[in-house]
This record gives sequence, C-alpha cells and structure tokens, in this order.
Amino acid sequence: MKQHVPVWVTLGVLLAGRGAAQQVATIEVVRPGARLIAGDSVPVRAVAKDSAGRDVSSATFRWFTNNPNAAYVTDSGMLVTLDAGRVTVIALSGREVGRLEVEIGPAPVATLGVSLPARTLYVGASAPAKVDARTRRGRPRRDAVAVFGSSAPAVASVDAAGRVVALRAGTARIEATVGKARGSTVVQVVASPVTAVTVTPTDTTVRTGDVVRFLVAARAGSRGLPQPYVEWSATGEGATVFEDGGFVAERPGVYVVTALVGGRAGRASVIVGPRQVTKRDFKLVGRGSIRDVHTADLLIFDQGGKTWAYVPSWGADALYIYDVTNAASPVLTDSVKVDARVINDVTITPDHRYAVMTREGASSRKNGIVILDTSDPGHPKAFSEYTETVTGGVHNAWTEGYYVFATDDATGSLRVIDIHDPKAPKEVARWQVDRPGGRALHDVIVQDGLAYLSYGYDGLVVLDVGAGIRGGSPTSPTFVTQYKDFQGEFWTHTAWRYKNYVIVGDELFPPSFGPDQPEFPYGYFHIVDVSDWDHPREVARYEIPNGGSHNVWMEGDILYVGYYQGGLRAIDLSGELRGDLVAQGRELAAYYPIDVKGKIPNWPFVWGPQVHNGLVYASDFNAGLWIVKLEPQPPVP
Amino acid sequence: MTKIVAAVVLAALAGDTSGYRILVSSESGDIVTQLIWDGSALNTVKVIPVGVMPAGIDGPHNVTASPDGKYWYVTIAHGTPYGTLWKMAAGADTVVGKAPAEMFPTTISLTPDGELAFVANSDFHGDHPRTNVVSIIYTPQMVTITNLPACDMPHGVKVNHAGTKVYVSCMNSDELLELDRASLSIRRRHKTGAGMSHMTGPVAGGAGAGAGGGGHDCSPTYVSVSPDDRRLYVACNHGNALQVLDAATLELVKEIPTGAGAYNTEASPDGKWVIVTNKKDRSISLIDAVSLLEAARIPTTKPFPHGVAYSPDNRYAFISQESKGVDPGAVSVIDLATKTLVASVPVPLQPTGITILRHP
Repeated sequence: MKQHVPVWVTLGVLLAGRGAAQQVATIEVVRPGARLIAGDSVPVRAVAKDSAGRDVSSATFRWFTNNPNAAYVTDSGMLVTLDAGRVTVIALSGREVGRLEVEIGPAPVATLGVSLPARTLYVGASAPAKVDARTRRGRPRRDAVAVFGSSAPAVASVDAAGRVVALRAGTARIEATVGKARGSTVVQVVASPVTAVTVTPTDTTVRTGDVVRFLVAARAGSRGLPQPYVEWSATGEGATVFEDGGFVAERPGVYVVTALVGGRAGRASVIVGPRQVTKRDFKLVGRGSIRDVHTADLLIFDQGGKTWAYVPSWGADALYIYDVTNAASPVLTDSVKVDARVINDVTITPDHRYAVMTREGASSRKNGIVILDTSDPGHPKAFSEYTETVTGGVHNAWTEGYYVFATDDATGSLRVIDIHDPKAPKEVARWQVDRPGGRALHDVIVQDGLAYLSYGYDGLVVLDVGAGIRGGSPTSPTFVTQYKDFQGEFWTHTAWRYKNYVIVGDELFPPSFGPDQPEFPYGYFHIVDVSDWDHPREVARYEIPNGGSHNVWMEGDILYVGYYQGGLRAIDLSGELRGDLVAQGRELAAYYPIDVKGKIPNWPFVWGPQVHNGLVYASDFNAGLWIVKLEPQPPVP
Repeated sequence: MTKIVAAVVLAALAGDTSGYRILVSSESGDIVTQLIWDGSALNTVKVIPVGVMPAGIDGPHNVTASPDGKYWYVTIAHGTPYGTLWKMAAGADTVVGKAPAEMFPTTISLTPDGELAFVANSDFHGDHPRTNVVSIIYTPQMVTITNLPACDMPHGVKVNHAGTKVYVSCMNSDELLELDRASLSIRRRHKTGAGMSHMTGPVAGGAGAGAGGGGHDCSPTYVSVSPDDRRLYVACNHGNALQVLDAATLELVKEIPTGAGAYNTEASPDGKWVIVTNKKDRSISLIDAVSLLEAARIPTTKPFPHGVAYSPDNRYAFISQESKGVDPGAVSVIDLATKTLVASVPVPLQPTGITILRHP
C-alpha cells in the first residue's frame, strides 16, 4: 500500500488569540461531524489553548495518524480514510499533543456482480449464485451479505443462501442487493430433456488418496446432451467430490457418487481401500556428527570417484567437508572458515568445479557469497567472493550453469550473479516484487528454466529465466505468475517443481524462537497446481501435527522433507493430488534424528534432505549430518 | 532461522544495587543483553530476544533508554526490507510498540522529554549515492511522523541536551546536519570532509555548508554533544580523527588524531572526557575534553570496538566490541580515574549498541 507521509498543516487563524507569545498547553482535535467510512475525505482541525484556557490562534499543527494504511492527513488538512478500522488522529504543536480516536466504517458496496455456474438450467436443477461485492475503489467486500431475489420466482426461485432452483421453463433474473448496490444475472430455465444420466466409471476400486475423475453423460432418449451442469455429491464423511467431478477419499469404505442433471441422477460406486498396509522405515546408515554448532543446509555431490557432503554451520563460520563415499562411516576431511556468523546455504556449479557459499553476519558487514574452488573437493579453497551489491547478506542461493541466483537480505530482491569468470563475479540482473514495506525473499530454485521464488508473505513467484515461455533469461528474468492465495497463516519459505505442481512450504515460528532451546515451529506444504500459469490454484496439502515445514527434495514420486521437530519425512505424491495427503495415508515414513549429545540434546530439528545414489542425506540443526535409507515396503501379510 | 537466545538469568539480581543496567544489542544474535556492574565484576543478568524473521539475522544495531527509565528502544536493522524501532518496557522487557523505519536503521536518539525518537537509516547495503532518511517517531504511540530526507548514509544521530537541536552525521556525503526539533527540518549542513559522494539541492532554512573539515575524507560515523551543548564531537571513520566543532557556528575547533577507524564517540556526563572507539585499531581513544588531547589509548579485549556508555557517576565507561565469527564479542569496563581497562565480559554475536538504563 502506498505510504502517506503526514505533513505540516498550517491552520492559520482559527479563533481569536493573544499572539505569538502564547504557549500551547492543550490541543483538542475536533471530531469530524459525520460518521466516517473508508473512502471519505473530510477536513480535520484542532483547537490549541494556553495554560489559562485561552485559544492560541497562531498555533500550527503537524498531523499524523497511528495507522497510515487506514487513514492519513493531507497537506491541505484533509483526513483521507482508506480502510475500515480504528485510527488515532494526532496533532502536534510544539511539544503538545492532541489525539482523537475515530472509527472508520467499511466503504459501502458500490458494485455487485452476480454469477451462476451455468446460464441455462434444466427444470429441477439447482445451482449456487455467487456475488462479487466491491467498493467504489474496487476493494472486495467479502463480508457483505447479499439479499437475493428472483424476478420470476415461479421460473427460478432463490433462497437466502443464493441457491437457485429451476422450477419451470422461462427466464428469470436473479438479483442480489447489498445496501444500495444491486446486481443480477439472467438464468434461462428449460424443460429438462434428460431421460438418463450415466456416470463413469460406474464402479471403481482405488486407494485412499487416489483421485477418480468422473465423467457424466446425459441423454435425451438416444440423443446426447452437451456439457450439462452437474450437481455432484458423495455419501459418507470420508470422501469429497469436487465441482469438476474429481473424487478423493481419506477413509477406506464404499462411497456412492451422485451426479444430478436436470432432476435426474446418475450414480457410481467407489470402493476405497487403504493406501498402504504397512508403514516403511528409514534405516540409519551413517552420521557426521556436528554438535558444537548448529548446522544448516547441505550439498551432496560426486567428484573424483568419491561422494562428498558439504555441511554449512548456522550461528558459526565454518563449512564442514565430509567424504561420504562410505556412507556408513563419513570422514571429516576439512573445514572452510570465512568471516561469517551464518552460512545458510551452499550450492555448486553443474561441472562441480566451484561451490558457492552464502554468508551473513560478517564482521565487515560485507556478506554476499563466497566462491570455493572444489578442484580438490576434500579440501576446497575460498577462491573469490562477491559482496558488492549483496553486502547485507545472502540467505539462499542456487547455481544454474555459471549464474548464481541469490536472495538479497537487505532489499528482499533476487540478484543474479554471473560467475563465468569466477575471479570477477558480477551482477547481471535483479528482480523484486513491488512491495517496499513488506518484502522478504527467502529462497530461490531454478528448474527447467523457471525460477521459483519463495517470497514470504508474497507467496510463490515464478520467473522465466530461460524456459522460453515468457522470453526470459538469466540476465532478464521475466514474470510468469504469482500465487499467495493460501488459506490461513502462511509464509512461503521453500518451493520445488514436481510435474504440474509446485510444492510450496511455509516457515512459521512462534513469537519467541531461540536456537538454544527446543522450539515448536509450524506450517505445512501447499500443493499448487500450475497447469495454467494464469490461474494457479492450491489443490492439496501435506500437514503434520507437531512439525514445522522446512526444506524439500523430490526423488521419483516421493517427497522427502525436513519437518524440523517433526523429523525427516517421506510421502508418496504419485498420481493426481487433491485434499489432505496425510489423511489419505500417503505418508511413507518418518525418522527422528535424536542425539543425546546434540547442540540441543534430544531435540531433532531436521533442516532438509538430499537424495543421492539411493541414500537420503539430511542435515539436522542440532546434530549435523545423518544418512539414512528408505526401506522398501514390506510385503503385505 | 532465527537466532534468538532465550532469556536466561545468569546472575542473581540481589546484587543489582548500582541503580542502573547496561544494555547491549547483538547485531548478529538478535538479542539484547543486560549487564550489571558492581564495581568489580560485570555480570550478565538477562538476555532478551528481539527480531522478526525467524529465518534470518534481524540485526538489532543500537539501543537506547528513555530518560525516565521506563522504556528502552532498539533498532531492528534488517526487515522486509525496511527495519523498525522497537519500544520495550523496562523490567518486563516486553515489546510495547513498534514503528516502521527505513533501510537499515542504526542509531537512535531521544528528545529529553522522551517524546520523539530520531533514527538514522544508514542503508548500509543499498545502492549509493542515495539520499537516505532520518525517521522521526512519536514514541507514546510509536508512530512514524515522517521520514525526513537527510543525506547519503546517515549513521550517527544525537539530540542536544536542551532538546532543541538534532545532529546527524552522514558517512557517504561526509557532512553533519543540524535539525530543528520544533520544525523537524534541516537547518544547517556542514561539510566534515571531501566526502565519498556529494549532496546537491537546497537546504531547508539552512545556512549552507559550513567550514569544511579539510580536503580529506572524514566519513563521520557518529556525533555526540557536550553536556553544555556548546561543542560537537564527530568521529571520522576515514579520517582516523575526532573533529571538535563549535555548536553555534559549526566551525572546526580542533581535529584530534585517534586510532584507525574512529567509529563512535561519547562525551562523559560530567563533560571531562570524550571517548572514541577505534574500530580498526582494537582500541579506544580517551580524549581530555578540556585540553582536547588524547589522554590515553587503551587496547580493547576484542576486535572492532563499537559503542560507548558511561556510568551515571562518571567513574566508568563501558565499551562494546563486536569481534568476528563465532568468537564472542565483549563489553569492557574502563576506569576513568586510572585510565585502564578493569573488567570484561563476553557478549555473543556481535555486540554493537550500548546504553545505560537507569532504574526508575
């Protein structure tokens, strides 16, 4: 929202006064006469008096409010209200202060749109009318309660909730009213020609979590009817059928799905069995214990015939280097120390020639990234650094070719650093959301030429950096889409593209969080369908109790996640995704890396996983590197 | 992930008889540490977590206390991306208000009545040259009255003791600003050195540039005011010197060499001493405020000395030192009578701002 800076307002001579020598002792802000509503612009004034109670006509006032997003005062002395709420209007004159608390009511609904899912309904059908109420400034009024009516109730009635019932052939106008605003839509009711409704598949046997796509064929005798409006329902409480005919069950059982078309019903049966009979296990393979400092992200890669694990430290200044060729017995070969207090992330060029460390908390306050020469991967050396335009710190980075996509802590923007000449990195591009007062870019990942930006309260942002769908490139990132219409509290922390979905994870902490005590973050993973870039939508969720969503890795159809105190988790994402994935029994395994000698003893806090050569490597904030293997599902007894 | 250390009482409060506490903000730790000095030992008594973003360093840079001792304030430098000024209730040490500032707010100065807070937004990590702003915040309701366009990279801000003028030191534009408290406008600009960039444009109601500090860079990181409001002390970070200015004319009285990287400077409450932290020299310069000579250069226990605070009885000075990486910083005690460092206590994760909180 635009920030409005209060300015001086000279009121001039308000009332008779005694002259410049008078000292202001009290200020009264005069209450505006009319009830305020958002969108108003009304004059405000104040009366200054001296200690004897005499008016100080020469007083000048400086005006402001305690909530400029809801109301502000212009330099011509007008109180401009923007949004509903309680606002304190404050006048300063010299060292005296006058205050007035005012209530701003919501702006009235100015426009009201009414829509139905189908323009034509068969007699006997019903459909919900939806309203779109907006103020004169175009702000939605989702709290508005509409009063519905029908111009021809004998043709189509409408109830208080807006459900329209087609009664007989004809035309009716469905009207809605909110205050003085009116809106309407026309519905054509025609006699139902439907003689039969068929739902396919007629009977299906699936597992919980499997999405069944039902199709409807309505017929008038032998003639098929095109695209009828369907009212879907399913028996029982363990399953949902959506408006588009998609069905998913969380509980095993037998469900009957009904499609109503023109007063006739078609039905199908679904037999839902459990998704899995036996949970799988993670088996511990090896460890690289780091107990004296916290650890952050990790990087696993092969080079020189060996496998290496780079594990950065959090609240410390070292990157730990492990030879994990023998995963059962990781060997700490070296560590790289830099001037930092957090090394949150480490990434590597595709040829494994250079690694890139992020840096925060440098004593010089020149943070940025440090480039490591990994030609000897067991003993990498700091090769160069880039701080110039990212001195405030880089929290996460991703290498795509010889471009580093870096989050800039100071400005909340994406910076693209060209490291083709690793000794002389240079910034080649920037991108940021247009929200100066609330912008926080947390993470970035590039997959198939698209950059997925985890943008905190701004949700998920996707940029074309070489995919070819919007003409973008690493040096010219181009906006593709943004999604932040998550339900409830969210703060987008991580993202990973999988098929037509993006797995979007929150990171939410209670108000007081401390790294040296057990803490209880929360949040979950949102599954966003991006099949249509113009209309991304959240279709499913992966949420567990007592866990805080953090970093992810997809391998095949299995999503591995660090769920902080919820441990390391694996969940089956095969097939279409809808609804509550945990309730559907998709979770495969959980592992709690508990270390009695950990930085915080006995408190698993899994940062994130990486799957490599069939093993799962996970960094734990309190206990370093853990290497586990997801056991195959045991045979069903 | 945030790094707020939970409040831990490390020493019994029974010894808290000094009548004040020393508050220290740790910029990379998102904590404010409370210390007690009993004349022989410096003890940590409480650690208060501050900060907003669990996933990053929020950078509490500076801390100051209200004149009545009921509140203390801390700048949270990193934000989204703008920082904030937090108002904390003393004793309970809970947040009672927050006001938005701008890019990387650093130092804070309150008017003597405690009503207005002036916050320098240093914008350490933005693109420069740029005209950065000083946030002026009405503290009873923690409302940002205005973000006053000031200069390139303001860092030090200090209200004089009369509460009539506010001085701002500008690192990049190498100048000192004088603000009028009543009108909240810039009255005068004074060049402290050749500067790293140069401001242009009109000066509101001002007298234009005053006497220059010479042809070299000063890059003034901090400014303080003598107790009688007659002199200004300007720490020249590039000039490795303390400039003493006449507050009435803004003319240079004397430039006193210090250690490398003069950073913060504070005058003692009794006006006898001026201390300069020499950030690149691991030392402080103790300046005799009468003779304007360096009376002592005292090494600190840790690198990167940052802030200065004095005991109310003028006997001791407390110096914060940032250090580097995982090595904890420190607060050290300077005995002004003996001109020696007499005690020190580690403070983790880049201790920067330091102030005295008197018990109400």
